[in-house]
Amino acid sequence: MLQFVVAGPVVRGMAWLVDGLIRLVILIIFFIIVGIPGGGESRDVSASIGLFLIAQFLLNWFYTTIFEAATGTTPGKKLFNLWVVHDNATPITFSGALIRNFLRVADYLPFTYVTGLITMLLDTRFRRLGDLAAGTLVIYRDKAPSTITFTHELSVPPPEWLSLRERQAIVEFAERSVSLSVERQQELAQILEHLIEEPTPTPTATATDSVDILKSWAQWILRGQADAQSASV
Amino acid sequence: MLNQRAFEQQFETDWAQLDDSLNSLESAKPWAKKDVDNSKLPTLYAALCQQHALAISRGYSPALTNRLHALITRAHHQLYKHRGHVIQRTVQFFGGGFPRALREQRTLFAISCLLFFGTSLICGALAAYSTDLADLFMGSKQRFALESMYGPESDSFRPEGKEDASNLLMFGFYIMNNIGIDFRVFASGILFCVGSIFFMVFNGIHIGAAAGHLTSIGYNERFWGFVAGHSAPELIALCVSGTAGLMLGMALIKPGRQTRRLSLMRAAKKSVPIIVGAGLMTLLAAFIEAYWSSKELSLSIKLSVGAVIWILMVAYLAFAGRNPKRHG
Repeated sequence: MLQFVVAGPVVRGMAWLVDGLIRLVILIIFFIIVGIPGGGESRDVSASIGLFLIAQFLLNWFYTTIFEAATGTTPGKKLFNLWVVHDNATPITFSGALIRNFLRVADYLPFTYVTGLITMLLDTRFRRLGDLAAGTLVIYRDKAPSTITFTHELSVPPPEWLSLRERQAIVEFAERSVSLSVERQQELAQILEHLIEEPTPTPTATATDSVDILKSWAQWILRGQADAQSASV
Repeated sequence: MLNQRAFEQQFETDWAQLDDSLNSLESAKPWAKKDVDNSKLPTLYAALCQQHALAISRGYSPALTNRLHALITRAHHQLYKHRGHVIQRTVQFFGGGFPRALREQRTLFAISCLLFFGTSLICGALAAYSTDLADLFMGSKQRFALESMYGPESDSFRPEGKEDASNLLMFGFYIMNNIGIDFRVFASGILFCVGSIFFMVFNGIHIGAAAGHLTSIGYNERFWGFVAGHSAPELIALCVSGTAGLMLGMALIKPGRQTRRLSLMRAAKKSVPIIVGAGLMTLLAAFIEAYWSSKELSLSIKLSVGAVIWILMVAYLAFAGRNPKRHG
């Protein structure tokens, strides 16, 4: 089952602002390029204004449409790790992009996307009118899975009465511990301490030991016994 | 039950292979020739989905399930990518897709035409009958501007000596303004048709009043000579975008036996070729308006060219893309 996190109004608003800035910069650069050769002659000035109007039209209506149809995202959205998909998670089509972006006109009413915001807040998946009509969602792109893998030198079988959920919690703790400070590891281990029923073998029972025990259980759950033995020899 | 390590070892080569072919697909340029063998992709994808489900139900670690989920997402994205030949699709669109889509909505198109041409005829007649009424429809300021623009002594839309440059200026202006109006008429239809109806009637009043008034004071040569050429694509396109807008609104007003959201989605999908067609017709109109309508030629030539364009336009929308077998 594919699962995605849908993007809310705030992050989408920020992406929209970034796209607006990019459009403005493109327009200014275009203006400088076509404006300079015109110089003083009025003949060329009116031609440059004509080109400028065409550029403005294209940016207004097709900047987001073309970017989304071609790449599934816009530069502004990409910055915030967002992309647009159809609601069955397939890539957005040209007609989908066209609908959702042309309907910005309706979402914008009466000013600054008020209609769109209200629609988004009423919808469970943060869809504005354009998204509802096009059948699209704005979602967070899956982050590249981390390459850090957890290993522990000891492998100890956990008690058999542990439930699946508890085993998962232990594994999850062990994998997260790679990026956590020792103190935080100890804090988290305390939450799972009730699972450790036997008194710890060493006389000075500290929280570090529960961290150790949990990690060795995780090692056993993940890799099994044989692997750990060969590693410890 | 397999422990996670053994599970990973069993399928690692499959995942690596899938990752490889996804990498090559993702980095491939759309115009480059594909020489990678991707025939195993669907099988690997199906197997991966099953392994992912298995990993979840066996409670394997999030590091593994997240990794598989990311791989599934990428494969899903590649498998369901929409492909099509651009040229072939363009030919299909002009050769029948657009007129067929419009003919399917003949009722709404008729309503849209009635809204626009109906109001413009009524307002045109009223404005021709009395200048006061013309002022009521467009304001006296606008009337004076029109009179000076199309008056016999005026040359305001044809500045001497810089024809090419100002043609380009006007082309840009017509594109931004007129196609923008089309798209707004379409989008505002989603407000239960109200927006589209408003824009259609508003434009009908304005254009009708201008035409009626200028005709009544005898500025025929300049006015009709100017508008004849581009009137067909421009005015029909306005009605076409009105049709697309009404489709959205009607989908919400009368969804039939489906939810309003589903009905809107289906209508929106059907409206895409129609609004794209309207935009392209207006682009054609802008081109004619900028480069042909401003030429100084006799009224009879201009009117006959205008009439030919009207006939071609109507014939195209009425007959292009019909199936000859089905219609005898």
